[in-house]
Amino acid sequence: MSGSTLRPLVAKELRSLLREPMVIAMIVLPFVIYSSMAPFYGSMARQAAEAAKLKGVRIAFAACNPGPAEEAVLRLVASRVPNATVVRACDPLSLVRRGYSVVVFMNFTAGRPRAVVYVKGSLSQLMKTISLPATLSGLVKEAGREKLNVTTEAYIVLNGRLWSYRDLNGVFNAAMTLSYAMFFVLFPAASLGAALVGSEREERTLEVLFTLPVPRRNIAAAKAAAALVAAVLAAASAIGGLYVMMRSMASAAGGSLQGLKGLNLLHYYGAAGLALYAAAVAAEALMAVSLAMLIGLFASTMRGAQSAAVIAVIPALLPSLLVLAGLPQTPLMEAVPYTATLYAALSPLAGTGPAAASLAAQTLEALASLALLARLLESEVAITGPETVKQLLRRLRRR
Amino acid sequence: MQEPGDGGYLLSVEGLVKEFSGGVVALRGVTLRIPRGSIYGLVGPNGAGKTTTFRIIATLLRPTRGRVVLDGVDVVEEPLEARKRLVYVPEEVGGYRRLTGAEYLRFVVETYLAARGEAGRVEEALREAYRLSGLSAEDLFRKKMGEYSKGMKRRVQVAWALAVRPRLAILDEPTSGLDVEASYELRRTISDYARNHGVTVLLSSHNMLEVQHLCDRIAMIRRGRIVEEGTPREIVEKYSAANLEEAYMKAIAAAGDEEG
Repeated sequence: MSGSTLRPLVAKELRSLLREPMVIAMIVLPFVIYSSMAPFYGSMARQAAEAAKLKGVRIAFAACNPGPAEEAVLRLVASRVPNATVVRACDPLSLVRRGYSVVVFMNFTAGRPRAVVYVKGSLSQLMKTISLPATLSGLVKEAGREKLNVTTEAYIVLNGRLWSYRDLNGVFNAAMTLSYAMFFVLFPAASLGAALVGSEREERTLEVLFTLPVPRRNIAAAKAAAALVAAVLAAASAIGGLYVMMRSMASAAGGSLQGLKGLNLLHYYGAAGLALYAAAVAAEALMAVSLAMLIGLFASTMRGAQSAAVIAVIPALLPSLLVLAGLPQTPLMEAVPYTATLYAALSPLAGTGPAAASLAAQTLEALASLALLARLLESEVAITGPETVKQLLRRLRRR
Repeated sequence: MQEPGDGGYLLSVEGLVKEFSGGVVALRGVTLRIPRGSIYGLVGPNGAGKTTTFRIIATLLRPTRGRVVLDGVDVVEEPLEARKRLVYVPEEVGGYRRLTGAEYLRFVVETYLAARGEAGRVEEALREAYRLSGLSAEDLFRKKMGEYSKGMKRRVQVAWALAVRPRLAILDEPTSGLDVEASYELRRTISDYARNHGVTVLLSSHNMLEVQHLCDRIAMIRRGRIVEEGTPREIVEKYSAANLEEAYMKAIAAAGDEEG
């Protein structure tokens, strides 16, 4: 094929692609999404760096009535750690209460030193909280490497409860997994909801549907229910597929399902916690599907509606990012849309109170979205939606 | 057919004005009175306001001013009650591409009659709709509507619109895009069924021959105003025309002259 015939063909294909809103969204959205994540990941990295350098961390090395030899070991280890103070105390948790961010409590059994690291944790600096035990354990082991064989273990005081490092890490991983897992439901729900509205316009059935003698809120509710059922099936399929994949990996490695055991949801959450999470997912999915249908009303094609529906789900990324960056400690956060699954996922750490409050707020927001959709369906915007958008764009262009 | 207090009119449209956002005025005071049991035609050039009038009557759009009363029900105040009395078949006929014609008919017929408290009549109405559609069993029960031609879709839409026996069937250009034979069949279906079962029909068309043969009364609309109204014979005589097409051309031209 010669260059002269190829050029118009390529130009035509590019023109067709670049005039399709879905393609434009596909090109623009990744940049918008990833660049908007920058501050959150930056904050996460800063917390990890601060933990590694022990920046702003007040550390006490403590032991209960140490003998001279033991005190020498305590001072030797403490001397290798910056900003460390040696304290004689028998209750390490009282030191945490007195304002030390980290207490390394040394005890000596049969002459063998054992360091227990206590960290004062914070939900607003969860990454730093998670990172500190590893940093301290590493420094202590390194300090005693030449003469001593120090064993370490770590505990974290968080939200008035003492966690073993292993448990806290497990809950953190479970919480992150759960706050991302809801996208298995949210994305298909929004996409299907928008498709159900967009296809009515594309298949030219909208006007007949809207002149049937049924309240349009029933039409909205029926579409939302159908989209949610299909989305739950899609999520079950995805989770089932992942389970098969992990099982196959574990089998090939000759072991059991360690990955799934690490994610011991029932152990961390209990049946009530998981029910709270399921209710939160349902409430968020209802809001996503309602907003997606609402946005879909302004699209003239099914694909256009589906592309636009992404707008309804993107804000749901924010809460998961906030966990990485540090959850703001204000009750207002619980009322922010799409935080219900996050608080349910964090309920072992933050308690069920915030999770229940967030679920209540999310349920109200979902019902309000559905009511707004029903109201819009009853108005003539339901018929003139795409034309309204075109007029708006024309006016903007003129300006 | 006539009921006390309504002057024999099923539908009364008074001074309808519709201004869309952006300043486009589609209707400038449309007034219509449609007798019960009649077939009424609304004719006019493209963009004259036929579809906007239909959409307002069908509760899809709200008028800027004016009133529409259907069978004693104000369609703006009580849209749901109005919808129980009407069926609207838009010009751009569609159909769910993944449903068969029979599945589509069951959906609309069942929904419509259940809302009207006539669920017991569903099966009878469905049989009627299958017959009126004129489609074969293969086309109705096996083929998805995505595989239907425009004519087949239109026949399915008109079939259910009549089979549920609404008080008012609004058919926007029901024969548009159909071949001569299909148009003839559809016209005959509309005429026979509506007259035998007392369904009032309000339709639009660009085909004056069709309007002349099908409609009891017609209104001519131009730039959002009714410029002529009467029986086809009255209008032809008024303009001393050979047929309705010629009368239409004269009426539209006269309205244009009046507007200057």
